[in-house]
Amino acid sequence: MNEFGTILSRLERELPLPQPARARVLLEVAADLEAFFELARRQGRSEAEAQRLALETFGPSSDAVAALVDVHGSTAARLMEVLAGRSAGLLERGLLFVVAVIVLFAAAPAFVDTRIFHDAGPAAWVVSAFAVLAVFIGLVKIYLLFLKRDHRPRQLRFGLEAMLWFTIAPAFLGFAVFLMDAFDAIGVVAANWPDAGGLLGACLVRGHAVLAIALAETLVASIFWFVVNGRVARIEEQNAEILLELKGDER
Amino acid sequence: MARNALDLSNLSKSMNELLVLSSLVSGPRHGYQLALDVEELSGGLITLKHGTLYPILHKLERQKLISGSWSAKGGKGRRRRAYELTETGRDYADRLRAEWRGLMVCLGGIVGEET
Repeated sequence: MNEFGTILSRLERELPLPQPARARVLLEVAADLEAFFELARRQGRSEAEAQRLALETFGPSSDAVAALVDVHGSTAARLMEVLAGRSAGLLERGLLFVVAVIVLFAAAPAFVDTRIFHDAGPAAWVVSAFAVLAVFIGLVKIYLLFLKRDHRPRQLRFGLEAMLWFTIAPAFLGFAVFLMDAFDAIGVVAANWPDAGGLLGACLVRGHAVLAIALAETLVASIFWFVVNGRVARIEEQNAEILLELKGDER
Repeated sequence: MARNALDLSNLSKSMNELLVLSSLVSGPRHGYQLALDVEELSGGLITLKHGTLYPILHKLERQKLISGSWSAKGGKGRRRRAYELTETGRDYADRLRAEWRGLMVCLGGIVGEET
């Protein structure tokens, strides 16, 4: 890889931007590097000197990177980028899958019995609706990415942000319902102190059931999310590598 | 009432925006051409660092004051992004330039004429 390839690779690594913003910045810098280099050559500078000047001029500074992040990076997008990095490794995804299978097998008997849904009441359906939406988007993305192989850069991340929110929403809702039940339980127990033991268990049944459902559904939805996001991250990395190689060949 | 285009609390940011928008008044430019124009027009006094240029361009584009488009592939297969002013951007640039001129007059009155 030549010097320009090196600087573009460094920029690619140091720019914590979501795609396609990162690819766009790289393409612009690459084109301007070329233009700068050619101008310097036309002005009679040697190839080595022109290259050195181009690198000095276009080297990524921390201020510039921070400014670009301010312009392009929403909090959710940055979170997705971090998670995409985490979900890119085969080993990590494999481990997550194994943990999920163990947890789901351990929890399966409680869910098969359906009493847990009865205990949870209507809150379980609200919690489940979000998880169903996340899984639905996940299935559509899996169809597009793995079967139809629609890898158009602009479409790659479409729907991922919504899927992330729908994936974590059940966990938040589950905790909220659990805390509300715990708060109610404190009031009941305080008012009926002699029967505290029995009442505490009865009061927390709904909260526990909702929380168990919410966590199990979040786990299932997150497997879909990690699979889809990992695939998108790999496709983007491949695109970036091809881009950098092309730029390297041109020089 | 229209908001002031000129941000007095951050004059360097406003000046960089002014330089970019003023350079685009005469027609579409690539990012690198913009930097060269500014340097040339200022007689080498003002240099728009490329690290400064891209965030400004992207921010102005996000605000729909300028629009960018990729050029067709040239002989060596390179695609470059050219920027041009939008109608809103042209109005904004006019306002920004007028406010800067006003500021210059005001500063001249404070600093005083050279004798």
